[in-house]
Amino acid sequence: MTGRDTDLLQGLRVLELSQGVAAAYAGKLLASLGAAVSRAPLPAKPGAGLSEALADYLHTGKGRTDAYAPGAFDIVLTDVHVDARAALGIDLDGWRKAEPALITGAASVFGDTGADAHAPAVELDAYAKSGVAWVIGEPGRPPLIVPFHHAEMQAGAHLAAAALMALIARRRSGRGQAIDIAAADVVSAAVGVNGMLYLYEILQRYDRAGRRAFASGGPYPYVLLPCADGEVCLVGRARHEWGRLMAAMGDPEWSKNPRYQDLRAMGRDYPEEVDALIQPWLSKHTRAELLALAEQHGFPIGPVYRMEETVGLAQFAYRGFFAERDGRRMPEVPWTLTRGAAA
Amino acid sequence: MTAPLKDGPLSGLRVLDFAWVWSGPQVAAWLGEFGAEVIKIEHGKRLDNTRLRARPVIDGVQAEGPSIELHPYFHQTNHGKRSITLDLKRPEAIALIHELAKTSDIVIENLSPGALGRLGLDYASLSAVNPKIVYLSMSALGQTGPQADLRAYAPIMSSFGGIEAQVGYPGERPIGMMNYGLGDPNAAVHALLPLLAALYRREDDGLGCHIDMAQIEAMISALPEPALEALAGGPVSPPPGNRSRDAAPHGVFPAAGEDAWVTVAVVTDAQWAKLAPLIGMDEPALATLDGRLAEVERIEAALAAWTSQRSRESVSENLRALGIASSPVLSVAEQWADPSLAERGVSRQVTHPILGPEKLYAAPWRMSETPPRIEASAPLLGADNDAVFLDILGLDPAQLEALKADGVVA
Repeated sequence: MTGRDTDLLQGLRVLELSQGVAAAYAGKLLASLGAAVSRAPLPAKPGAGLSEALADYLHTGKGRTDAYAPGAFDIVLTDVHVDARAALGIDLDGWRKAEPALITGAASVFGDTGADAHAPAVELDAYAKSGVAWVIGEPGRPPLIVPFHHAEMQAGAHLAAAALMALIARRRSGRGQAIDIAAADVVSAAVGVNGMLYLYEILQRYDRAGRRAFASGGPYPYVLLPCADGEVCLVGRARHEWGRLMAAMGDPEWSKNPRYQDLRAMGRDYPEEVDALIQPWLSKHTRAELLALAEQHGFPIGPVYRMEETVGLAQFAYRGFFAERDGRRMPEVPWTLTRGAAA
Repeated sequence: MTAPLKDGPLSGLRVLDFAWVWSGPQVAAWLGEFGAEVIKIEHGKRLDNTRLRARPVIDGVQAEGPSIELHPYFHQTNHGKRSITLDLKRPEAIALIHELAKTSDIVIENLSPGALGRLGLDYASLSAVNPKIVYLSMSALGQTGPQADLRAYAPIMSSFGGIEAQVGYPGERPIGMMNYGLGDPNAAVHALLPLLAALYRREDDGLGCHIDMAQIEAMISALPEPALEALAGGPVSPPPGNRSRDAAPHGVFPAAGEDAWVTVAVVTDAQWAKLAPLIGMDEPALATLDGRLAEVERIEAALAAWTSQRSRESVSENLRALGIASSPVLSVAEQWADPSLAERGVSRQVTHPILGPEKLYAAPWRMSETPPRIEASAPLLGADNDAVFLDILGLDPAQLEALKADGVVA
């Protein structure tokens, strides 16, 4: 059997008490793995920003239920703020006390504990507290976020994964447990890993740098640059990749200058100067031509596609990544699974 | 059945980790935090490039010791693992991996499609020696398709997936998020889902599986709104910057001081009624969300004039007291120093045998019964050759010495 829909979690019963995106995405992921996910109606969270299309995407494949019922579920998921749960009749601790095998999971901006747990918060605050906003945008201009609920979606994916870990633990112990996910923790850990590249190296800083990684994140290049029909993302982390790029450009004379041999100095001290040397060549080629040259010569480059272009790519059609569900075309889960002996 | 879980819910499971850099190694490290034994397969002459970063600088001083052992980035994505060194171009090494696979549960790789297959280490080969193997492949575009061989780092993936084009200031050319490296951590958590589900189900039916995970697909799955717009045939909304269509004002505003910023988000009319008099915008036309969205630039200008006269902490404290979401924008260095991450168990102090004390991130999950644990930093290169080849595979010391002398264990 190979496919995106699986029955790995067949028989698992999940109650979703979602007001926003995080618990809904967690429920969607568990449903795609075969769990029976039931949503109980809750009033939408102010500012939650769920468009009809997003709601369709998040809730496909789920059932409905009225409310929590003792013994009816293995896992309860929510993204209701810790201080708002009681008013909505959500009592995770009480339910777990009555049902020791129950797994409860909550996802919120700052989590259920800690200095900020009771503060009013929206996703924007997770980007602020984590340092993610600090590194996106132009120097001197306001820090930017990743739009479209991405931190909440990340928190939802972590909530689902933690719930599965708790499920495996329950098989061994017989006990459920409480899970508490903070979007701020999730994106802090994500950006903090990259932060190690900067804060432990000679730069000792990690700041906004516009269309490139700060100081190229090490060796040159690490940058978005214009080409004949848009932009490309040019990244090289190794000397052989730089050599292949130069070969694709016909080994220009300037590339033999000692000033353009030290990739770290180029990335850190004068990346714009090197951009200007490469730019005329990029401007002569389309994204498709550059991608073909990259494949031919073996250097990493990526066309910067608009989403209208991405959804039409043959790669995704081949893999059936976009499919119709309940009358709407939408992305599938990002994996296929083959069980048992290899074909 | 009840049993203590002091060793973690994955205790007794063995992971063979062929992955490099961030996404795949991070998945394996997380499994280790829950008790799995993770064996990282390395080679002394073809190192994971995160071992090859610049020598770390701490308090202005370069760390001493073998450079390949020192970088905290490598420690982050490989903590708690064992390290063995093998030349996978040698058939003897492949035979040793096949022997290890017989007693292993999980294989993780994020190499180019077909790379391990050419060595006899793909799912078909390893499931033939152990049908219970759960084998995770996580390449940029998956194992199949006309562009499956795309060479990709994280921002190339987000460019290809249409994500970089969604980030920018309103009304301007997209700027992207080259600094963030979102593709790897996003892929890592999405890979965990089918992997853990497969382990759960395997306990019932004993079947292994191959998971073909596509990292670019994972980015689109977790940021679906532009794709949903495009798939519906409509125009895709331009980058909204920090604005929201469901809240106004909603953004990042200047605070007093150099490069100091603070967020403010008003999600209800009642919250606006408290903020409006503070910034001199107590106007009836702005009492509703639609009214505020129509005048959002004027509101942002007035709010920025107010916040820029105050410290970011002062703005945040005052607005939070009014029930309005507001936070200082921290740098990553400030995040590292923020004690709340340690209080919530996300950052952990460990001691590396050469670098000394360092702070690493655990899986960002608070769990009441089985919290993630980091008990050791990353292994030194080949540190576990003796333990794995002698104790697990049962080679005798002379055999191991011969394999070392012959360059198989290298």
